[in-house]
Formats: sequence, C-alpha cells, structure tokens
Amino acid sequence: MSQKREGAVSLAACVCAEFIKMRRAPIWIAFLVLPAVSTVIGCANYLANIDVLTPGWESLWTQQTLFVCYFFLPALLGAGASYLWRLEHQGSNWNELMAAPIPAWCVFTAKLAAGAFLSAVAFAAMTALFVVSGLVLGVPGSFPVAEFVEEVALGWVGSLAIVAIQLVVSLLVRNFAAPVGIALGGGILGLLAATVGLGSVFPYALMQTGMNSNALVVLDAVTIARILVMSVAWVVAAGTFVSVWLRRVDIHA
Amino acid sequence: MGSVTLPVALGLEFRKTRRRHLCLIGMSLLAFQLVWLCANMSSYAKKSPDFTAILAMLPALNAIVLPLLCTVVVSTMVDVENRADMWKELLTMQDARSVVVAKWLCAALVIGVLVTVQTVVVVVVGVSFGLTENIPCPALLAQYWVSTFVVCLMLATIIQAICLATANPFVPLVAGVGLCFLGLFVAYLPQVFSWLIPSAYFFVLAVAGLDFDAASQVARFHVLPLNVPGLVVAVLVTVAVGVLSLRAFSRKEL
Repeated sequence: MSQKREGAVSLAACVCAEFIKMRRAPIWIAFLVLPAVSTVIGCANYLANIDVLTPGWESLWTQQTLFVCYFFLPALLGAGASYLWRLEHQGSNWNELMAAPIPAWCVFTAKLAAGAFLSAVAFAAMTALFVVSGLVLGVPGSFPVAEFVEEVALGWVGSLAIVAIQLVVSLLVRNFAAPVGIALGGGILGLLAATVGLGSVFPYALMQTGMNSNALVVLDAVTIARILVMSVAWVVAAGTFVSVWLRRVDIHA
Repeated sequence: MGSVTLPVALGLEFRKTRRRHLCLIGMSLLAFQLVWLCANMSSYAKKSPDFTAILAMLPALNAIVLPLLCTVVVSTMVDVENRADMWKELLTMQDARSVVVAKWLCAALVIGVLVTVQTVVVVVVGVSFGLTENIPCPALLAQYWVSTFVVCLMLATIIQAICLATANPFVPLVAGVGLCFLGLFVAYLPQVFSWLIPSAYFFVLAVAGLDFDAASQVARFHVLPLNVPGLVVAVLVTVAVGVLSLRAFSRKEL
C-alpha cells in the first residue's frame, strides 16, 4: 500500500475513532442548546427593542448572534476541544497514543474534523432556529438568502481557526477548564482586535467578522478572501505545531 | 474512618491545587477583562473624568467573565478526584461533608483573592486613565467587593453542586458558559428577570447606575445603595444549594 493511501486510511480510522469517543456524550446537547437559548433571548431582545432597531432579518440576526459569536461560542468550542483531548490526558492513554502507529498529523486532523463537526452542529442549529424564529415573528422583508448563506459559511470557516487554536491549547494545558477560560479571553481579544481593524487577521475575530453580527462589516471580495486565507493559515499553523510537538516532546503521564 | 479537622482538610485542598496554577489562570481571566475595560476607558476618559462610569460598566464585564472564572476554579478543584476516580479511596480517609466544605472554602478563598485583586486594579487603572472625579471611597469599594464576592460565591456553590453530581467535567463548564450568557442577556430585559438568573445578580447588586436623558443625549452616572434584599436572596440561594448538594453528595453511591 502506498504511503499516501496508508495516510488516508490512518486518517479515516482516526476520524472514526474520534466520533466513537463522542458517542453518547452530553457534548452534542450543549452545541444545540446554546444556539436555542441565544435564539429565544435574541427574539425577546428584538421584540423589546423594536422601536430602536430597524425591523428586519438583519436586526434579528444581530440580536440572536451578537454575544454568542463574540464570547460564548468560542468558549463552547474551547470546551469541545478540551473534551476531545480529555481521554488522551487520562491515565496512561497518552502513552498509548504515542505508541500507536499513527502519523501525528492524523491525530490533529481527526480532532479538527470532530471539532469542525461540532461547530457545524452549532451553526446548523443557529441557522434553523433563526429562520424559524423569523418566520414566527413575521419579520418584514424578503429573506436575504445569499447574504445569510455567506455569513453562516464564513462564520463556520472562521470558527475552524478557533477550534484549531483551542486544540493546541488543550493539548498543552492538561487542565480541562482552563482552556475554556482562554477561549473566552480570546473572544474578548477578538472583539478588541476587530475594533482596531484586525477582524480578518486575529484568529478569534475571524468568526465574528464572517458572521457580521454587528452589521458593521462589509463582506466584499477582499474581506472574504482574507477570512478564508487566514482561517486556513491558522489551521495549518496549529496543525504543524501539534505535529512537531507530538513527534518531538517526550511522553509524560 | 479517620477524623480530619476542617483546617487540615482545607490545607489538603490547597496542596491538591499546587501546580494547577489556579491563581495564574484566574489572574489571566481578570487580565482579559481589564484589557477590555481599558479599551472602553481610554475612549470614555476623553469625554468625562467621572469614575462612577467604571463602576456602572463593571457588572456587564463581571457577568461575562466571573461566572466562567468561578467555574474554572471550582471545576479544577473537584476534577482532582474525578479524573483519577479517587472518591471512594478518599472517603475511606475523610468524611464526605468535610471534603465538600473544604473544597468550597478553598474555592471561596481563591475567589476572594481574585475579587480583591480586581477591585484594587480597577481603581488603580481608572485613576491612571485620568478618571479622578468621584473616586470611590473605601465604603463604596467595600460594598462593591461584598456584592461581587457574594455573587461569585453563589455561582461557585451552584457549579460545585453540578461538579459533585456528575463526573463529566464538560457539564459544569457548559453550565458556567450558560450562566455567563444568560447573565449578560437578561440584563437587557426588565430588571425583574435579573432576579431569576444567578449570574445576573451582578446587575441586581450593582453599586452604580446610569440615567440617560434621551432629550439631551446626556448620560449621568450615580452611586446606588446596597441592595439588601438582593444580597439576602444571593446568600440564601448559596446556603440552600450548598446544604442540598452536601446532603446529596453524602448519600451518593460512588
């Protein structure tokens, strides 16, 4: 079997292993419940502030996603990344992982795939709930399909940078809770980065910029390209770091 | 079963947290909060040197950061036994109630230190940004410290109850993130809703408020007296949740 095919087989096996580890885990519920809570409260805010806001799909989107994308979705993704590394950090599982005949990049990519899927679950829930809530509330105006698909897609791509960085943090920090705090801090720094014009560069700002939750971002071709390129760059950088770390740092319990 | 006194149990809890860098993690979270506060202060200070504005801003920042900070502290302490599945062995040497109370006291002391640091740093940073009007007097600072600490303790007690109920660390973390989220969002609804969410008590017990005159577009900040009913509710919730979780854990089949 060629090396490429072996690598692909290892990666597929690793991805399957990650999803097997998450079977029957409560983690899925959190990625559905947080968007649901955000939708309900966003709708309440939208109705309570209808005199101040411009009624429409854009205002509803900002009310539902503003705080979620700045602080709470990064924190939830951080918790997800911690969960993905937790099993390896327990007992002698780390030694087992290091002794397994799997390339280091496969380990990271598999966990990234799992984290990306979790993020996709959250975005899918946000999307579905946004559409349903908008229809129920009778939001005026036609549904901006193209804009909305663009914002959701860019938001998800931007979230991959957060997942990748948090996987690095959770690899290095064996405390389960601390990386979640770092993710929240990253979200705060992302908010500040966006205000100084680094919204399409700083990893924790990419999701916020892509989702355009404050309706202040102009998603032109340059901005979109920058978000895509920087997301990929951060993912590749994180993956390279993890691969080098796993290959070179000695086993420790 | 050996009898371990509370001071010894408390000392053991602190030894268990050695090399977990709890204070460092807590300070880092506070640092993120302060960076954000500084970013807001730098633009505000140009318009008005009124320090009360900072006190009015703090509940929102606290609602975002402090519930997660309390969750990180408590979760780390309880995870020591959860991760190694050491509960049964520990409870052959120490009473369950003693373990729970010691962990709670340890968390309370760490959180107390962090709230103290936050209070001092906010004053120092506020003055250094030129907000020299209405600098809070010691009594007001004490009111702020007590209000913030009591709410943090309430949140820590709730999170500890969740940590003791389930071995999965993901559940209390999601609860912590959820409390941050709800606390902030509920602040935008009528104040009566804030009484229903534990993390919204940062707003219920706020030491400063804002009056906005829509006609003249002028915002005026003013100091608020201590919300005694809010404080009493927070303390009662803390005691109730603490007692219930203590009883539930004492009787839990491990």
